[in-house]
Amino acid sequence: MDVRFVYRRPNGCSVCGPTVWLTLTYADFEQYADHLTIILNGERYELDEPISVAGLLAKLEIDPRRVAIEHNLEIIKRHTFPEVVIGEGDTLEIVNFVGGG
Amino acid sequence: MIAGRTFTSRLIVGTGKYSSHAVMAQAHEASGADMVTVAVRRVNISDRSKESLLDYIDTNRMFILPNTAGCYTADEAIRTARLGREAGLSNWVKLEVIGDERTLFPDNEALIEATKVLVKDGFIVLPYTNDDPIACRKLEDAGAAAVMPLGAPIGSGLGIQNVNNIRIIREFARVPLIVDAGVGTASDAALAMELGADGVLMNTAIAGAEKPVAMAQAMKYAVIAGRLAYLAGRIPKKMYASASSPVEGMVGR
Repeated sequence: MDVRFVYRRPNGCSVCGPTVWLTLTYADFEQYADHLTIILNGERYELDEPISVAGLLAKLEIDPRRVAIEHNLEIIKRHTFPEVVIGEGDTLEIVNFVGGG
Repeated sequence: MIAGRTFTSRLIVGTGKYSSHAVMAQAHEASGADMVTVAVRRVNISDRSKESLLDYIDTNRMFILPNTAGCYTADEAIRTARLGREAGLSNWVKLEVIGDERTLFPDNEALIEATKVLVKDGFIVLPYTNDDPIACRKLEDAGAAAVMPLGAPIGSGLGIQNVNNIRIIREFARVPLIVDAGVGTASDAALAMELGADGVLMNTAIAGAEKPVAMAQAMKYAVIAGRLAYLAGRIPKKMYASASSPVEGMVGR
């Protein structure tokens, strides 16, 4: 649920113009926050700071040898996991093998 | 043999719909298969407790064939195939491009297009298609390493619905023919092999059986029996009787 902040510009006056009501949400403040948001497997996910793919897998306790990863719609090779850094707004897909016919 | 690789078994089995990974492993053992299909899906980020499928498959003995199940467009299938290649141990893919949710019949047009792209990208493509000999020919021309016509809709257990078409596909095919989907019980698998198929692929027939391990064993023998019967050259079908015992020398005649 997004909390909405309501900002009211100063009372109407000849200099500033008429009163303006703005509705702001958390998303508008994100650029000022010291954490970053990515889309991980289709869901929003928060990170405290940029992290490498290898670092994220370690954090999530995922074995890098058993997954394939798409970073911003590009499949990235396993040996680059420690080098590829995940930043604000990135999209990540982490897939593995499951039962199927 | 497919694309230069030899398999000891003509039965390929799936890994889906089992009540547990342990049962799946036992069924695989009983089936004698040395190739299994797997699906490619997102890792469950929040629930890390689930056991990994690969813990129950000995990849030294079992060849893993990723599929593109659930893909409804060529682009989705191509993307999934590439992820499967990256996650896995080979460049083989069971290519599926589905045209309809209820029947899970293939969209042949998109399938042929995806086959061309993936073959060019170096994949060994095994496409799941329907029992249309022309579609099979087009897939072959597109570079497919085998053709895999369905016997009946996935998971339906109806057995081979169009026996004559499978026979015709066998006659035309210049690549291995694997009947994939719709097998219900042992006789269906045996029939597929009697029609000349090089192999049979099944998942639900085993996983959904009351006793999967027993059914896996039945399927193993069915595929062997069907193949032997095919090679043995069956008798022609006749409309009337032809006595097996001699007519002469009857007592009292």
